[in-house]
Amino acid sequence: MFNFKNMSILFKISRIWNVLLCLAMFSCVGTTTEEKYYNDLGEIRFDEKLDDINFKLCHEDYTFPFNYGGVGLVYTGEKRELEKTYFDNYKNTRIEGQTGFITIRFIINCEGKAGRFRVEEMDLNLEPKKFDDTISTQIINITKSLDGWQAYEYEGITYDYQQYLTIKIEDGRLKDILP
Amino acid sequence: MKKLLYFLILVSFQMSIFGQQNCEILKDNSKCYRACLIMNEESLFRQGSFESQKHLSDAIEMCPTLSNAYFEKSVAYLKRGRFVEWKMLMDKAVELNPEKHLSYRAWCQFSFLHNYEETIKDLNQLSVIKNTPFIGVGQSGDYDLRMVLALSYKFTERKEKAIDIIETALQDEDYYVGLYDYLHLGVLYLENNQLEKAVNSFQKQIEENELAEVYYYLAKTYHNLEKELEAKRSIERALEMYNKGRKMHSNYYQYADQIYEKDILDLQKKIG
Repeated sequence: MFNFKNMSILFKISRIWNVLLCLAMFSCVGTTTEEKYYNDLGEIRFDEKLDDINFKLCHEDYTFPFNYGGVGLVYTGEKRELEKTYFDNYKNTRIEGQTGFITIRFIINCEGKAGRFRVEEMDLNLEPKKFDDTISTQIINITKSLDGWQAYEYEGITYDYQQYLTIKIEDGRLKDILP
Repeated sequence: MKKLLYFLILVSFQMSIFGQQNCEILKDNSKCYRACLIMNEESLFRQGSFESQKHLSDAIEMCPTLSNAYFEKSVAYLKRGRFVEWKMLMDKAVELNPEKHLSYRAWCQFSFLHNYEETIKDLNQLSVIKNTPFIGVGQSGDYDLRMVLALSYKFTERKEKAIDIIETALQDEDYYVGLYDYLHLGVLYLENNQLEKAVNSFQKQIEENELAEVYYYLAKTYHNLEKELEAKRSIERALEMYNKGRKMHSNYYQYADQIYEKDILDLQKKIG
Protein backbone atom coordinates (compact mmCIF):
# COMPACT_ATOMS: atom_id res chain seq x y z
CA MET A 1 0.00 0.00 0.00
CA PHE A 2 1.33 3.44 -0.74
CA ASN A 3 0.97 6.25 1.65
CA PHE A 4 0.95 9.97 1.16
CA LYS A 5 -0.02 11.88 4.23
CA ASN A 6 -0.60 15.25 2.67
CA MET A 7 -3.13 13.85 0.22
CA SER A 8 -5.48 12.88 2.99
CA ILE A 9 -5.04 16.15 4.85
CA LEU A 10 -5.61 18.00 1.64
CA PHE A 11 -8.88 16.27 0.94
CA LYS A 12 -10.11 16.66 4.50
CA ILE A 13 -9.47 20.38 4.29
CA SER A 14 -10.93 20.56 0.82
CA ARG A 15 -14.13 18.89 2.03
CA ILE A 16 -14.57 21.42 4.82
CA TRP A 17 -13.56 24.20 2.49
CA ASN A 18 -16.13 23.17 -0.07
CA VAL A 19 -18.87 23.20 2.54
CA LEU A 20 -17.84 26.60 3.84
CA LEU A 21 -17.58 28.12 0.42
CA CYS A 22 -20.65 26.56 -1.10
CA LEU A 23 -22.57 29.65 -0.10
CA ALA A 24 -20.53 31.50 -2.69
CA MET A 25 -22.25 29.32 -5.28
CA PHE A 26 -25.51 31.09 -4.66
CA SER A 27 -23.93 34.41 -5.44
CA CYS A 28 -22.83 33.17 -8.88
CA VAL A 29 -24.62 34.97 -11.61
CA GLY A 30 -24.34 32.39 -14.39
CA THR A 31 -27.00 29.86 -15.26
CA THR A 32 -24.96 27.12 -16.92
CA THR A 33 -25.96 23.51 -16.37
CA GLU A 34 -22.89 21.83 -14.97
CA GLU A 35 -22.19 18.11 -14.94
CA LYS A 36 -23.17 16.94 -11.43
CA TYR A 37 -20.79 15.10 -9.15
CA TYR A 38 -20.03 14.69 -5.45
CA ASN A 39 -16.48 15.82 -5.09
CA ASP A 40 -14.43 15.61 -8.24
CA LEU A 41 -14.83 15.84 -12.01
CA GLY A 42 -13.17 12.46 -12.50
CA GLU A 43 -15.36 10.41 -10.20
CA ILE A 44 -17.22 7.44 -11.72
CA ARG A 45 -20.70 6.68 -10.45
CA PHE A 46 -22.05 3.13 -10.26
CA ASP A 47 -24.00 2.12 -13.37
CA GLU A 48 -25.99 -1.08 -12.98
CA LYS A 49 -25.80 -1.72 -16.73
CA LEU A 50 -22.00 -1.61 -16.78
CA ASP A 51 -20.61 -2.31 -13.34
CA ASP A 52 -20.08 -5.29 -11.05
CA ILE A 53 -22.38 -4.86 -8.07
CA ASN A 54 -19.80 -6.59 -5.86
CA PHE A 55 -17.19 -3.91 -6.54
CA LYS A 56 -17.54 -1.60 -3.52
CA LEU A 57 -16.04 1.75 -2.65
CA CYS A 58 -15.25 2.77 0.92
CA HIS A 59 -16.08 6.42 0.23
CA GLU A 60 -18.53 6.74 -2.63
CA ASP A 61 -18.58 10.53 -2.43
CA TYR A 62 -14.85 10.98 -2.03
CA THR A 63 -12.51 9.80 -4.78
CA PHE A 64 -9.53 11.73 -6.11
CA PRO A 65 -7.30 11.50 -9.20
CA PHE A 66 -4.22 9.28 -8.91
CA ASN A 67 -1.94 12.12 -9.96
CA TYR A 68 -2.95 14.55 -7.22
CA GLY A 69 -0.79 15.11 -4.20
CA GLY A 70 2.61 13.80 -5.15
CA VAL A 71 2.21 10.08 -5.81
CA GLY A 72 1.55 9.45 -9.50
CA LEU A 73 1.14 6.04 -11.07
CA VAL A 74 1.75 3.25 -8.55
CA TYR A 75 1.92 -0.32 -9.84
CA THR A 76 3.80 -3.37 -8.59
CA GLY A 77 6.88 -3.72 -10.81
CA GLU A 78 6.46 -0.10 -11.94
CA LYS A 79 5.50 1.02 -15.43
CA ARG A 80 7.62 -1.66 -17.14
CA GLU A 81 5.49 -4.45 -15.63
CA LEU A 82 2.33 -2.74 -16.79
CA GLU A 83 3.73 -2.33 -20.32
CA LYS A 84 4.84 -5.96 -20.38
CA THR A 85 1.30 -7.14 -19.63
CA TYR A 86 -0.07 -5.19 -22.61
CA PHE A 87 2.70 -6.09 -25.05
CA ASP A 88 2.67 -9.78 -24.05
CA ASN A 89 -1.08 -10.15 -24.40
CA TYR A 90 -2.09 -7.84 -27.24
CA LYS A 91 -2.15 -9.49 -30.65
CA ASN A 92 -0.64 -6.99 -33.08
CA THR A 93 -2.35 -7.04 -36.45
CA ARG A 94 -1.74 -4.37 -39.06
CA ILE A 95 -5.07 -2.72 -39.86
CA GLU A 96 -4.67 0.51 -41.79
CA GLY A 97 -6.49 3.50 -40.34
CA GLN A 98 -6.86 1.97 -36.89
CA THR A 99 -4.86 4.77 -35.32
CA GLY A 100 -5.49 6.88 -32.25
CA PHE A 101 -5.94 6.54 -28.51
CA ILE A 102 -8.05 4.37 -26.23
CA THR A 103 -8.39 5.78 -22.72
CA ILE A 104 -9.76 3.62 -19.94
CA ARG A 105 -10.73 5.40 -16.75
CA PHE A 106 -11.45 3.36 -13.66
CA ILE A 107 -11.45 3.31 -9.87
CA ILE A 108 -8.94 1.58 -7.60
CA ASN A 109 -10.93 0.89 -4.48
CA CYS A 110 -9.88 0.76 -0.85
CA GLU A 111 -9.01 -2.95 -1.29
CA GLY A 112 -6.63 -2.17 -4.18
CA LYS A 113 -9.02 -3.71 -6.73
CA ALA A 114 -10.00 -2.09 -10.04
CA GLY A 115 -13.56 -1.54 -11.24
CA ARG A 116 -16.08 0.79 -12.93
CA PHE A 117 -14.18 0.85 -16.22
CA ARG A 118 -15.12 3.59 -18.71
CA VAL A 119 -13.75 3.67 -22.24
CA GLU A 120 -13.14 6.63 -24.54
CA GLU A 121 -11.75 6.18 -28.06
CA MET A 122 -10.16 9.02 -30.03
CA ASP A 123 -8.28 9.76 -33.23
CA LEU A 124 -4.94 11.61 -33.20
CA ASN A 125 -6.81 14.90 -33.28
CA LEU A 126 -8.54 13.77 -30.04
CA GLU A 127 -11.94 13.59 -31.66
CA PRO A 128 -14.17 10.61 -30.77
CA LYS A 129 -13.80 7.60 -33.03
CA LYS A 130 -14.67 3.92 -32.87
CA PHE A 131 -11.92 1.33 -33.16
CA ASP A 132 -12.55 -2.16 -34.54
CA ASP A 133 -13.93 -4.40 -31.81
CA THR A 134 -10.95 -6.75 -32.21
CA ILE A 135 -8.74 -3.91 -30.96
CA SER A 136 -10.86 -2.27 -28.26
CA THR A 137 -12.03 -5.58 -26.76
CA GLN A 138 -8.43 -6.73 -26.35
CA ILE A 139 -7.40 -3.45 -24.72
CA ILE A 140 -10.34 -3.50 -22.31
CA ASN A 141 -9.77 -7.14 -21.35
CA ILE A 142 -6.04 -6.61 -20.73
CA THR A 143 -6.80 -3.53 -18.63
CA LYS A 144 -9.32 -5.47 -16.56
CA SER A 145 -6.76 -8.22 -15.99
CA LEU A 146 -4.11 -5.90 -14.46
CA ASP A 147 -3.53 -6.92 -10.86
CA GLY A 148 -0.65 -4.77 -9.62
CA TRP A 149 -2.71 -1.87 -8.30
CA GLN A 150 -2.39 -0.77 -4.70
CA ALA A 151 -4.87 0.87 -2.36
CA TYR A 152 -4.17 4.25 -0.84
CA GLU A 153 -3.89 4.15 2.93
CA TYR A 154 -3.45 6.79 5.57
CA GLU A 155 -3.48 6.27 9.33
CA GLY A 156 -5.18 2.91 9.02
CA ILE A 157 -7.94 4.18 6.72
CA THR A 158 -7.97 3.18 3.08
CA TYR A 159 -9.32 5.38 0.31
CA ASP A 160 -10.51 4.93 -3.28
CA TYR A 161 -8.92 6.81 -6.17
CA GLN A 162 -9.39 7.45 -9.89
CA GLN A 163 -6.92 5.96 -12.34
CA TYR A 164 -6.64 6.19 -16.10
CA LEU A 165 -4.51 4.54 -18.78
CA THR A 166 -4.26 5.67 -22.38
CA ILE A 167 -3.18 3.24 -25.07
CA LYS A 168 -1.80 4.60 -28.33
CA ILE A 169 -2.56 2.46 -31.37
CA GLU A 170 -0.94 2.91 -34.79
CA ASP A 171 -2.50 1.02 -37.72
CA GLY A 172 -3.82 -1.59 -35.34
CA ARG A 173 -0.51 -2.04 -33.54
CA LEU A 174 0.20 -1.22 -29.92
CA LYS A 175 2.49 1.79 -29.85
CA ASP A 176 2.54 3.33 -26.37
CA ILE A 177 1.08 3.04 -22.88
CA LEU A 178 0.41 6.31 -21.07
CA PRO A 179 0.85 8.03 -18.66
CA MET B 1 8.06 24.81 8.24
CA LYS B 2 9.35 22.60 5.44
CA LYS B 3 6.22 20.43 5.72
CA LEU B 4 3.98 23.48 5.60
CA LEU B 5 5.76 24.76 2.52
CA TYR B 6 5.38 21.39 0.82
CA PHE B 7 1.70 21.32 1.69
CA LEU B 8 1.16 24.81 0.31
CA ILE B 9 2.88 23.80 -2.92
CA LEU B 10 0.53 20.82 -3.16
CA VAL B 11 -2.54 22.95 -2.58
CA SER B 12 -1.44 25.55 -5.09
CA PHE B 13 -0.74 22.85 -7.69
CA GLN B 14 -4.33 21.76 -7.51
CA MET B 15 -5.64 25.24 -7.89
CA SER B 16 -5.55 27.54 -10.85
CA ILE B 17 -2.23 27.02 -12.60
CA PHE B 18 -1.66 30.42 -14.18
CA GLY B 19 -2.68 32.51 -11.20
CA GLN B 20 -5.22 35.27 -11.48
CA GLN B 21 -5.80 37.32 -14.59
CA ASN B 22 -5.62 41.09 -14.34
CA CYS B 23 -9.28 41.99 -14.96
CA GLU B 24 -8.69 45.74 -14.98
CA ILE B 25 -7.75 45.60 -18.66
CA LEU B 26 -11.34 44.51 -19.37
CA LYS B 27 -12.97 47.39 -17.52
CA ASP B 28 -14.39 48.87 -20.72
CA ASN B 29 -16.43 45.70 -21.28
CA SER B 30 -18.66 45.31 -18.23
CA LYS B 31 -19.78 41.73 -19.01
CA CYS B 32 -16.27 40.45 -19.63
CA TYR B 33 -14.94 42.36 -16.63
CA ARG B 34 -17.52 40.67 -14.41
CA ALA B 35 -16.81 37.29 -16.05
CA CYS B 36 -13.12 37.78 -15.38
CA LEU B 37 -13.80 38.40 -11.69
CA ILE B 38 -15.91 35.24 -11.51
CA MET B 39 -13.14 33.32 -13.26
CA ASN B 40 -10.63 34.55 -10.70
CA GLU B 41 -12.92 33.50 -7.84
CA GLU B 42 -12.47 29.95 -9.13
CA SER B 43 -9.01 29.90 -7.57
CA LEU B 44 -10.69 29.67 -4.14
CA PHE B 45 -11.75 26.13 -4.98
CA ARG B 46 -9.90 22.89 -5.65
CA GLN B 47 -9.26 22.26 -9.33
CA GLY B 48 -11.81 19.74 -10.64
CA SER B 49 -14.34 20.43 -7.88
CA PHE B 50 -17.89 21.25 -8.93
CA GLU B 51 -17.55 24.80 -7.63
CA SER B 52 -14.38 25.41 -9.60
CA GLN B 53 -15.76 24.16 -12.92
CA LYS B 54 -19.06 25.97 -12.38
CA HIS B 55 -17.30 29.31 -11.92
CA LEU B 56 -15.42 28.78 -15.17
CA SER B 57 -18.56 27.76 -17.08
CA ASP B 58 -20.36 30.83 -15.79
CA ALA B 59 -17.46 33.05 -16.84
CA ILE B 60 -17.52 31.51 -20.34
CA GLU B 61 -21.26 31.99 -20.62
CA MET B 62 -20.98 35.61 -19.60
CA CYS B 63 -17.98 36.38 -21.82
CA PRO B 64 -17.47 33.79 -24.58
CA THR B 65 -14.22 35.47 -25.68
CA LEU B 66 -12.44 35.02 -22.33
CA SER B 67 -9.75 32.57 -23.48
CA ASN B 68 -8.29 31.95 -20.02
CA ALA B 69 -11.62 30.58 -18.76
CA TYR B 70 -11.63 27.85 -21.47
CA PHE B 71 -8.01 27.11 -20.72
CA GLU B 72 -8.49 26.87 -16.93
CA LYS B 73 -11.58 24.71 -17.38
CA SER B 74 -9.69 22.34 -19.68
CA VAL B 75 -6.94 21.52 -17.18
CA ALA B 76 -9.14 19.51 -14.83
CA TYR B 77 -10.22 17.31 -17.77
CA LEU B 78 -6.63 16.79 -18.89
CA LYS B 79 -5.46 15.58 -15.48
CA ARG B 80 -8.29 13.03 -15.35
CA GLY B 81 -7.63 11.57 -18.79
CA ARG B 82 -10.72 13.14 -20.33
CA PHE B 83 -8.86 14.21 -23.42
CA VAL B 84 -11.78 14.81 -25.79
CA GLU B 85 -13.23 17.44 -23.47
CA TRP B 86 -9.77 18.85 -22.74
CA LYS B 87 -9.04 19.31 -26.44
CA MET B 88 -12.37 20.94 -27.25
CA LEU B 89 -11.80 23.58 -24.57
CA MET B 90 -8.12 24.09 -25.43
CA ASP B 91 -8.94 24.48 -29.11
CA LYS B 92 -11.33 27.26 -28.21
CA ALA B 93 -8.68 28.98 -26.05
CA VAL B 94 -6.15 28.69 -28.89
CA GLU B 95 -8.65 29.98 -31.44
CA LEU B 96 -9.25 33.08 -29.28
CA ASN B 97 -5.63 33.73 -28.40
CA PRO B 98 -3.10 31.49 -30.18
CA GLU B 99 -0.04 33.36 -28.96
CA LYS B 100 -1.02 32.81 -25.35
CA HIS B 101 -2.30 29.22 -25.45
CA LEU B 102 -0.47 27.34 -28.23
CA SER B 103 2.49 26.58 -25.99
CA TYR B 104 0.33 24.86 -23.38
CA ARG B 105 -1.57 22.79 -25.94
CA ALA B 106 1.73 21.73 -27.51
CA TRP B 107 3.24 20.89 -24.14
CA CYS B 108 0.28 18.71 -23.15
CA GLN B 109 0.19 16.90 -26.49
CA PHE B 110 3.88 16.14 -25.97
CA SER B 111 3.93 15.13 -22.32
CA PHE B 112 0.50 13.60 -21.68
CA LEU B 113 -0.13 11.96 -25.05
CA HIS B 114 3.20 11.59 -26.88
CA ASN B 115 1.30 13.11 -29.80
CA TYR B 116 4.44 14.40 -31.46
CA GLU B 117 3.13 15.47 -34.87
CA GLU B 118 0.51 17.69 -33.20
CA THR B 119 3.22 19.13 -30.92
CA ILE B 120 5.37 19.99 -33.93
CA LYS B 121 2.43 21.67 -35.70
CA ASP B 122 1.61 23.83 -32.68
CA LEU B 123 5.18 24.84 -31.93
CA ASN B 124 5.91 25.70 -35.55
CA GLN B 125 2.76 27.82 -35.63
CA LEU B 126 3.88 29.55 -32.44
CA SER B 127 7.32 30.22 -33.96
CA VAL B 128 5.67 31.95 -36.91
CA ILE B 129 3.53 34.10 -34.58
CA LYS B 130 6.38 35.04 -32.23
CA ASN B 131 9.05 35.34 -34.91
CA THR B 132 11.84 34.96 -32.33
CA PRO B 133 14.09 31.95 -31.56
CA PHE B 134 12.80 31.81 -27.96
CA ILE B 135 9.12 30.88 -28.04
CA GLY B 136 8.57 29.99 -24.40
CA VAL B 137 8.98 27.37 -21.70
CA GLY B 138 6.98 24.17 -21.13
CA GLN B 139 4.31 24.31 -18.43
CA SER B 140 6.32 22.25 -15.94
CA GLY B 141 9.20 24.72 -16.26
CA ASP B 142 11.62 21.92 -17.12
CA TYR B 143 12.12 22.75 -20.78
CA ASP B 144 12.68 25.52 -23.30
CA LEU B 145 10.08 24.73 -25.98
CA ARG B 146 12.86 24.28 -28.56
CA MET B 147 13.86 21.17 -26.60
CA VAL B 148 10.24 19.94 -26.76
CA LEU B 149 10.26 20.52 -30.53
CA ALA B 150 13.59 18.71 -30.89
CA LEU B 151 12.39 15.71 -28.87
CA SER B 152 9.21 15.55 -30.94
CA TYR B 153 11.36 15.27 -34.07
CA LYS B 154 13.47 12.62 -32.37
CA PHE B 155 10.44 10.47 -31.60
CA THR B 156 9.23 10.79 -35.19
CA GLU B 157 12.51 9.43 -36.56
CA ARG B 158 14.19 12.74 -37.38
CA LYS B 159 17.17 12.52 -35.03
CA GLU B 160 19.59 14.62 -37.09
CA LYS B 161 17.09 17.45 -37.12
CA ALA B 162 16.59 17.10 -33.36
CA ILE B 163 20.35 17.32 -32.72
CA ASP B 164 20.61 20.34 -34.99
CA ILE B 165 17.81 22.19 -33.16
CA ILE B 166 19.37 21.54 -29.74
CA GLU B 167 22.92 22.42 -30.79
CA THR B 168 21.70 25.67 -32.35
CA ALA B 169 19.50 26.52 -29.36
CA LEU B 170 22.34 25.96 -26.88
CA GLN B 171 24.33 28.68 -28.70
CA ASP B 172 21.52 31.20 -28.12
CA GLU B 173 22.10 33.41 -25.08
CA ASP B 174 18.32 33.49 -24.49
CA TYR B 175 18.16 29.70 -24.28
CA TYR B 176 16.54 28.46 -21.08
CA VAL B 177 18.73 25.54 -19.97
CA GLY B 178 16.40 22.90 -18.62
CA LEU B 179 16.90 20.27 -15.95
CA TYR B 180 17.51 17.42 -18.39
CA ASP B 181 18.81 19.05 -21.58
CA TYR B 182 22.27 17.48 -21.63
CA LEU B 183 20.78 14.09 -20.82
CA HIS B 184 18.47 14.26 -23.85
CA LEU B 185 21.25 15.54 -26.11
CA GLY B 186 23.56 12.79 -24.86
CA VAL B 187 20.95 10.11 -25.55
CA LEU B 188 20.53 11.48 -29.07
CA TYR B 189 24.30 11.29 -29.65
CA LEU B 190 24.33 7.76 -28.23
CA GLU B 191 21.50 6.68 -30.55
CA ASN B 192 23.33 8.36 -33.44
CA ASN B 193 26.53 6.48 -32.54
CA GLN B 194 28.43 9.68 -31.69
CA LEU B 195 29.77 8.11 -28.51
CA GLU B 196 32.48 10.57 -27.43
CA LYS B 197 30.01 13.44 -27.80
CA ALA B 198 27.51 11.46 -25.76
CA VAL B 199 29.99 11.00 -22.90
CA ASN B 200 30.76 14.75 -22.89
CA SER B 201 27.08 15.63 -22.82
CA PHE B 202 26.38 13.22 -19.94
CA GLN B 203 29.27 14.69 -17.99
CA LYS B 204 27.77 18.15 -18.41
CA GLN B 205 24.43 16.74 -17.21
CA ILE B 206 26.13 15.32 -14.10
CA GLU B 207 27.53 18.78 -13.34
CA GLU B 208 24.10 20.39 -13.81
CA ASN B 209 21.77 17.80 -12.32
CA GLU B 210 22.95 14.35 -11.28
CA LEU B 211 20.32 11.61 -11.58
CA ALA B 212 19.94 7.87 -12.19
CA GLU B 213 19.10 8.29 -15.88
CA VAL B 214 22.38 9.97 -16.78
CA TYR B 215 24.45 7.17 -15.22
CA TYR B 216 22.29 4.55 -16.94
CA TYR B 217 22.89 6.04 -20.39
CA LEU B 218 26.54 6.72 -19.56
CA ALA B 219 26.93 3.02 -18.72
CA LYS B 220 25.36 2.12 -22.06
CA THR B 221 27.74 4.44 -23.88
CA TYR B 222 30.82 3.09 -22.09
CA HIS B 223 29.64 -0.44 -22.84
CA ASN B 224 29.44 0.45 -26.54
CA LEU B 225 32.94 1.95 -26.30
CA GLU B 226 34.07 -1.34 -24.69
CA LYS B 227 35.13 0.51 -21.53
CA GLU B 228 33.70 -2.14 -19.25
CA LEU B 229 35.10 -0.89 -15.95
CA GLU B 230 33.57 2.58 -16.46
CA ALA B 231 30.34 0.96 -17.63
CA LYS B 232 30.17 -1.17 -14.47
CA ARG B 233 30.83 1.79 -12.19
CA SER B 234 28.21 3.88 -13.95
CA ILE B 235 25.46 1.29 -13.77
CA GLU B 236 26.15 0.75 -10.07
CA ARG B 237 25.86 4.50 -9.56
CA ALA B 238 22.60 4.52 -11.55
CA LEU B 239 21.08 1.92 -9.22
CA GLU B 240 22.31 3.78 -6.15
CA MET B 241 20.76 7.04 -7.37
CA TYR B 242 17.54 5.29 -8.35
CA ASN B 243 17.18 3.78 -4.89
CA LYS B 244 17.78 7.20 -3.33
CA GLY B 245 14.98 8.67 -5.48
CA ARG B 246 17.34 10.80 -7.62
CA LYS B 247 15.49 10.06 -10.85
CA MET B 248 13.08 11.62 -13.29
CA HIS B 249 9.56 11.63 -11.93
CA SER B 250 6.27 13.32 -12.59
CA ASN B 251 2.89 12.46 -11.12
CA TYR B 252 1.30 13.22 -14.47
CA TYR B 253 3.40 11.69 -17.23
CA GLN B 254 6.51 9.74 -18.08
CA TYR B 255 9.48 11.86 -19.15
CA ALA B 256 11.35 11.29 -22.40
CA ASP B 257 14.35 9.05 -21.65
CA GLN B 258 13.00 8.18 -18.19
CA ILE B 259 14.08 4.76 -16.90
CA TYR B 260 12.85 2.28 -14.28
CA GLU B 261 14.59 -0.13 -11.92
CA LYS B 262 14.11 -3.02 -14.34
CA ASP B 263 16.01 -1.14 -17.07
CA ILE B 264 18.99 -0.71 -14.73
CA LEU B 265 18.98 -4.35 -13.59
CA ASP B 266 18.72 -5.60 -17.19
CA LEU B 267 21.68 -3.47 -18.28
CA GLN B 268 23.65 -4.52 -15.22
CA LYS B 269 23.18 -8.18 -16.22
CA LYS B 270 24.32 -7.39 -19.75
CA ILE B 271 27.43 -5.55 -18.57
CA GLY B 272 28.19 -8.32 -16.05
